[in-house]
Amino acid sequence: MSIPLISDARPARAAADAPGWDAVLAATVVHVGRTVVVLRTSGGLLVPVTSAAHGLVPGGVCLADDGDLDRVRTTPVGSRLDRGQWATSLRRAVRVDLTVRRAAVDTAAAHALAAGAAVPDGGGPLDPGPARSGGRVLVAAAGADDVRRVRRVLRGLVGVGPGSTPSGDDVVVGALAGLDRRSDDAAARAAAAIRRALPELLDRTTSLSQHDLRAALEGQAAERVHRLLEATADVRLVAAALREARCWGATSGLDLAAGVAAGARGPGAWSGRRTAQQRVDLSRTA
Amino acid sequence: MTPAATQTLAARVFPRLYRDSVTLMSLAAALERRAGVTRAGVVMGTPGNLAILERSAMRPPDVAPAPDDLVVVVRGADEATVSAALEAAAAGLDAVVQDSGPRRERAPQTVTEGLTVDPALTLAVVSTPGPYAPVVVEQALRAGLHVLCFSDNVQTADEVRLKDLAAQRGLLLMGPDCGTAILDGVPLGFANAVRRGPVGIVAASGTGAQEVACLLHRAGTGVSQLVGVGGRDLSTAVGGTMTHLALDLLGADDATDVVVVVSKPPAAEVARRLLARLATLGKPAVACLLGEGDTDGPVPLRGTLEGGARAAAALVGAVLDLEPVALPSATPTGGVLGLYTGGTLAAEARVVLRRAGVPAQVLDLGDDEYTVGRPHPMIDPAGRAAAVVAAGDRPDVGVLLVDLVLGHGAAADPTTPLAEAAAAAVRAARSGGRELVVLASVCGTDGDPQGLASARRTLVQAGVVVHPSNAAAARAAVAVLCRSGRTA
Repeated sequence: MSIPLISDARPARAAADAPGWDAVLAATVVHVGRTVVVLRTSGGLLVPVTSAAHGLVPGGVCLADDGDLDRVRTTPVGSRLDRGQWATSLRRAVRVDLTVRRAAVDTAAAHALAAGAAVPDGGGPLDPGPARSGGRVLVAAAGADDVRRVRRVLRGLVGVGPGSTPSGDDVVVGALAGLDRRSDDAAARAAAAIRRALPELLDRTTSLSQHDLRAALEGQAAERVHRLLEATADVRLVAAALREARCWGATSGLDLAAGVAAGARGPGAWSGRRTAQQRVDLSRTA
Repeated sequence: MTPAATQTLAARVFPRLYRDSVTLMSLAAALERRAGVTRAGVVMGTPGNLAILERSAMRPPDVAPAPDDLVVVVRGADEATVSAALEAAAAGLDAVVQDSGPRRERAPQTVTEGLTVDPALTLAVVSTPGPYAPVVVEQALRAGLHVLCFSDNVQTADEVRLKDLAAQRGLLLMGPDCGTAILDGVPLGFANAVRRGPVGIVAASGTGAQEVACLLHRAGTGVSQLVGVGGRDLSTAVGGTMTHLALDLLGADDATDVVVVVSKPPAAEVARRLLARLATLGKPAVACLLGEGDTDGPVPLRGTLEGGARAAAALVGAVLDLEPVALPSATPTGGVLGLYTGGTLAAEARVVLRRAGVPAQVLDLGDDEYTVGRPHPMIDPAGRAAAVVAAGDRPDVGVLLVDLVLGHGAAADPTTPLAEAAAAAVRAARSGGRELVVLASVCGTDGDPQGLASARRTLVQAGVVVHPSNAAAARAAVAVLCRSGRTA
């Protein structure tokens, strides 16, 4: 009796922008992590394969059962997945749209999220604190449509910080999602300013981060980012969202939360006033 | 000439190597703890990170990685030190340099993989981020494994459900948020090298269990089993499910003559049921419930860890004889500040100080609010050391109370940072015209890898007054303040 590699009990889910199944089945494994397996298609696209515990990410596939991911994780780097065992499950996968939609933002909730994501500066050169502060500096610059300053702040964020997806990249991803969540024109203009400046800087970071940043440029965000966005609408959701975010890698969750909070508070929150703390932060991130 | 100019700086590049961020940060911290290493960094080789390394004089001139490459950079006393650290990093990453083929991952990493490797396994240790832990714990329980769940941030509803599942199957679910156990002599998580003996411990607290076990060791007896159950097990919601199962197991264990239950004060109804259960266990038992009054009913009840250990030792015919330590001659004018790495040790200090009517600020620096994005201070002592140094500048602090936890799982050298910080704090206070007394206890045994005797010696040489138990150190704080006329 053979045991199917992927259980048929619940369907997998796939991001609406994930490559076609033939491309996924022909892709090779480039990274095997504890919560994600990353495939690379022949066209160079990355396909992050996760499980329900991690959630769906842009361009990715989310398996319904953690045990399924455990089995996928046994595939060696450089190999392809077993086509026979994957084909049925992938073709049944439900496509999910991860586009960030406009919705109401509660100022108190966004403020609470920002406060919870702030951490004391540990003093080390790669402490994530300055990058998190850089989120609001970025939003302020974008709100003022100051192209040179946006580019300068982005250079201080993209590819900067600890981890395989550096902290600064997570902050930028979160800030774009936060701005996209807002329904005012000022936020839309600020997001557009960041989108104009960001593409030329993508080669300054890792492939995994480039994948996330490209998705953010397209207005897409991972399910975990959507949960942070939901918390910006209701202050009662903030504590649980932060608790969950603290478990995403060493710093990624709070980096994303800091970015989301900065974006969701909108450019108006920062215009016309730069505190001494912000000036210090700007000097460290730029 | 700057100190950096006299040191060696070197880097190693691991092409196209990804590792989880927790792994990278832990590796950097471990490298910085190595003797002779001044500073270490483990980062992806992006232009932004390289610029930061350059600004902090941490980028060797010949290193030019790509953004997808992992860079390990080490500054140290000499070439041999740096080279050894880079070799250790390579081993830690378990990677193939210039990798072009399959990469060997450290196996097993999941329940499924583990059972494939050895179907005879009986226990799983779960240390995933909290939201994922219930899934893994359930997989392990359904596979027939006992579980030690180190993860915190698990919902209470999940804990209740999973403990019910475990109890139905006669399996131990130790945790969530369980950091300490010793099963059949095997230490799990944070645990000390205590001798085996006739006392079984069921503990809803980590460092509380460690302190009791170490004091029993000091008394010349030992531990049969130490079963952690997680800090919430004796809450009303969970109802002590695992405590009662552990008592069943220890009640039937031939190697266990006496049982001690260690916990912060449980809910009243849960405590009543616990005491009733202990009274009918069929073996002598001690309830060590922090903060409760000491009583000698059918089950001796003790409100401190030291009291619980002393009562348990007596029941097996041993004597916990703690040598008195002379009070320092200083008469500080400030109050008591406790800077603890062990949560239950901090709680015990509060109990002793409160009983004496001494107002004090006692902080558990391992609490979530101090550890966001950082390792626990028992693993990385740097944060607590910084707090100790800062205390030297506080005129309102006259007595500094600290713990030092040794054993498996703790930092390789937690002593030196604390000793150096304490000495710096005392110097700072003196330069401000004040007196600062630093009182400590070391939770450890002579068998612990860090060495109990050398840890005590290092602290004493730094001017710290080292007491034989945490409660004794707290009592000494009371005595110092009494002599200074600062008690209520």
